[in-house]
Amino acid sequence: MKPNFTSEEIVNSLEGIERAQPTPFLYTRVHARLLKHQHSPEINFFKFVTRPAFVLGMVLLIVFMNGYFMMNRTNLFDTQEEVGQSLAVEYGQNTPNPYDLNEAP
Amino acid sequence: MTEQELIYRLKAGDEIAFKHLVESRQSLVFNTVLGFLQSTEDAEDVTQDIFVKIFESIQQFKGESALSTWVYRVAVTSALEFIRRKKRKKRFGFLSPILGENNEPTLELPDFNHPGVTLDNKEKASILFKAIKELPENQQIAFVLNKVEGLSYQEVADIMKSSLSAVESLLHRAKTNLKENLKNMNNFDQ
Repeated sequence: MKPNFTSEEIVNSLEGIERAQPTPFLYTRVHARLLKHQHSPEINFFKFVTRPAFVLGMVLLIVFMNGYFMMNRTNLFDTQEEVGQSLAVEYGQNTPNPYDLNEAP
Repeated sequence: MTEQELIYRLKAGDEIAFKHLVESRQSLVFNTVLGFLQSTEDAEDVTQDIFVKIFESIQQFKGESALSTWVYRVAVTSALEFIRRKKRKKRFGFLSPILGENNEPTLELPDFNHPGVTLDNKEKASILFKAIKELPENQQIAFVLNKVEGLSYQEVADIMKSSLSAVESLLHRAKTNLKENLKNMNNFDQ
């Protein structure tokens, strides 16, 4: 059978409501959950990688590695140039091209 | 223990202070969460999670509001997050056999009876709780905090970080929408 209530009565039906209480020993369960949470390897890993110090450290490492490889790349070019020049001297190819000097050959 | 002392000790990771916090605020958190989730088991589970979250994020509490206001905020956010997660799970439930998730059936819960409602209002309150679920989120927050948790408009405004007039307006709209929902539910039943 359908109850015959007005919408006003229904909206006001929470008057005099009392607070619901959780089951006893909630703290014990919260404490156990907290310990489980603290010892979870996934959570510990996530906590570790999201630490500002770790993030900053990683960024600095990437910047340092980037700089290191850039420097080495420049040195490599320098070495290659030096080898090229010594070969040119050895085979007498180091004299400037007269056309480059804008002189009559 | 004064509130300042409690906050100080909580920030220092004091276990006794945490126990005090849980014991003094457990009914506040549980009742608020129950108003949103309308399931005692889910509310118990989320309440435990909320206290773990509070313990782990107490350093973020700047003391700009009362500790209880902050606890209410964490409780409301967590309860709404849980509802969203549950809805998402329900929406993509057809994927769980493919993804290999545990195939727990998402059953529709029976009518909810709040344990604090007076006996003569039980039936009416059960219909009301069904209609509350259909309200927009911010109206639901204002209504639950004011009617289920019994907070004043000012306290609701503090928790929602909004003005008193905004809360008044939200509650007015919530009541109008509830009456509309109830009419529709009635028509549907006939």
